[in-house]
Amino acid sequence: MTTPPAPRRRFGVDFATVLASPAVLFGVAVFLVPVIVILVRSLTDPSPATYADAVTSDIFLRSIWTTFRMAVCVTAVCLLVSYPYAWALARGPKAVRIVLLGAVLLSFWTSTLVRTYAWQILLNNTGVINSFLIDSGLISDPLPLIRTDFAVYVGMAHILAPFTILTLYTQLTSIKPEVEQAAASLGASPTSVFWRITLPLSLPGAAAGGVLVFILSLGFYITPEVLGNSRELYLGSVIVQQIQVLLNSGTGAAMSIVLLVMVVAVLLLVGRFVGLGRILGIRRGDR
Amino acid sequence: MKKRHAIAALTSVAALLALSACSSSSEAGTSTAAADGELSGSVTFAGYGGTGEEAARAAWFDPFTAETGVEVLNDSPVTWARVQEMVAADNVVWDVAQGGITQGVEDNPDLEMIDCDVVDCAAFDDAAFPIYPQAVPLFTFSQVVAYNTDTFGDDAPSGYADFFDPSVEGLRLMPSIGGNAWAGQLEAALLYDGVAREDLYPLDVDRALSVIDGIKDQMVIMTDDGQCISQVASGEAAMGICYNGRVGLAADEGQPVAAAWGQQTMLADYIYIPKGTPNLANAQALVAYIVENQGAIASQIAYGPINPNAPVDTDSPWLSYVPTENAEEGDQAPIVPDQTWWTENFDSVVEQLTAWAAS
Repeated sequence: MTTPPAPRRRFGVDFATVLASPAVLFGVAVFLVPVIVILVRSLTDPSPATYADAVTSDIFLRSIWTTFRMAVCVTAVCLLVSYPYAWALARGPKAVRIVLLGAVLLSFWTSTLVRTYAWQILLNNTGVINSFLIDSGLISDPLPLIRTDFAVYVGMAHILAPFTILTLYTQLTSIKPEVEQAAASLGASPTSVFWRITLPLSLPGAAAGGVLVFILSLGFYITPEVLGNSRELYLGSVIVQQIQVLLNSGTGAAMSIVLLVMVVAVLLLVGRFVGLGRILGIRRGDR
Repeated sequence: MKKRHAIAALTSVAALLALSACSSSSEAGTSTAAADGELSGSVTFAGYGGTGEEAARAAWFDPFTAETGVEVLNDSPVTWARVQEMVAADNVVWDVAQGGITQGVEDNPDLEMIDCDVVDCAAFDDAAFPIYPQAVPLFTFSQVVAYNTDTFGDDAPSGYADFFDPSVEGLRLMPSIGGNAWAGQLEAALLYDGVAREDLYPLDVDRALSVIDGIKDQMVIMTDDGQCISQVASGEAAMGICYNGRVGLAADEGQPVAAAWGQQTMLADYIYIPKGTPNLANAQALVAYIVENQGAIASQIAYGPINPNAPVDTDSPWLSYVPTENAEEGDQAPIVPDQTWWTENFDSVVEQLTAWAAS
């Protein structure tokens, strides 16, 4: 690794700052401004009572529970599935790594809607899996796959797993082989090298990927709606209903702010344990 | 290092140029009617896209352009929330918008008045759906009980009597709550429960839901009503409350679907003009053209005209799927949801249904 040259300063402004400023301006214009508009609207359309409407809405409170439960489960599934995948990606033979990397990137690049409907085609009562099982005589009635929590978790985990796979992969490849070799040379068995060296060193990657997946799944609603049961209500759908159907933009805005506050709270809470910088990919000094 | 800076600077300039090329030069569009009534420029019609938009283009938009020289642009999907946003932001880009009536259309500050000097308002005097000062009937469509003909074979469902009967097996699809709040289906549930037609309103939503409770385990509420007919055609669902036009299209393609027309929910889409449109004269002219030529839509898709004076081409292949051509009699007559009651109670019904669905 080469050390990048120290930033050159001219007229007191560092060139990197100049280069980054359009991106910063863009970020402020398309992200910060709308968030402020939503915040203002939640307080003024028609009054801060929108928050009272939001938090006393039985539907909204239930959707928070449903959504958080879904997000926790999806994060757990993602991490469980991703760890062996990322490990094989980081340590496997070259051919395996190429296939695995190709698979995860192809999936990552495919539209969420396409992947959601693909799962519907697989899991429907008349879908690929059930038709195959029924045609081959293994079952006579279709398995209850679609419109279940199972379908939601599988579909969501498939869509979001690339985030955990890629963060874990990065973390695993950053573990210096010398560290594992040193442990082995001191007599540690491969299992204890894994449990005592590799796994602890890869945990920040798991935390970073897990937080990403958790936060992203809080805002998802098309996938759970298409694959899940219509009795389960998700935060996203409830906010959309307020704004587009009931035309209560203020209440919808208040609900969005509540969601945003919860996301920030989760970030801060996790940040206390693993460091926000790691999750956001900023590392202080030379690691 | 100097050279590197120069390259970086050049790259940024090139990137900026590329970006500015991306922003379209949409200068066209603003038009004003000249003193002699000549129209020019364009008019933007916001609808729902898809086959409905294609049909409207063939029936109305292209002929209107041919007659007046005004180009008709399309945008979709239309939502009343966006109309409100545009008017509030004083940036109205939709000149004519399509939709059901879930908002005031008499003196709504977000809407222009329909100019009855341009539009033939009197045409709707005897129509099934009235004209309002700020909204003009566009066409009728309906929600019918669509069913899979392979699933049922010779024992075809007769309509809601089978749909609400728990002993009839098979998955049922109900429309999304946000769409129409089950206007028409709640009425049908009450009729099924023995309520007389004249006693339907005010709707007893609790009683209607107690009927639907019976099939709650055999029922799915759709997220996207467009999925209805494909789910019925694939056999994933046995029956669904689908739009008549989609049933017509699917049956025409040879898919195993048919419609039970009894107690079809007869609905009307309206068109209105958002307040402050820069193309007001074009918008009024387009509305007038559509009213006059309303029957043309039935040649393109299974929608029916509402203007009784607008002739329909009797050779249209869609006629057998047009709601008004399939109106049954007596108990099975179409259900026309009461606009006044629904406008007043829409929000509370949506909330009640959402809570019921989640319980």
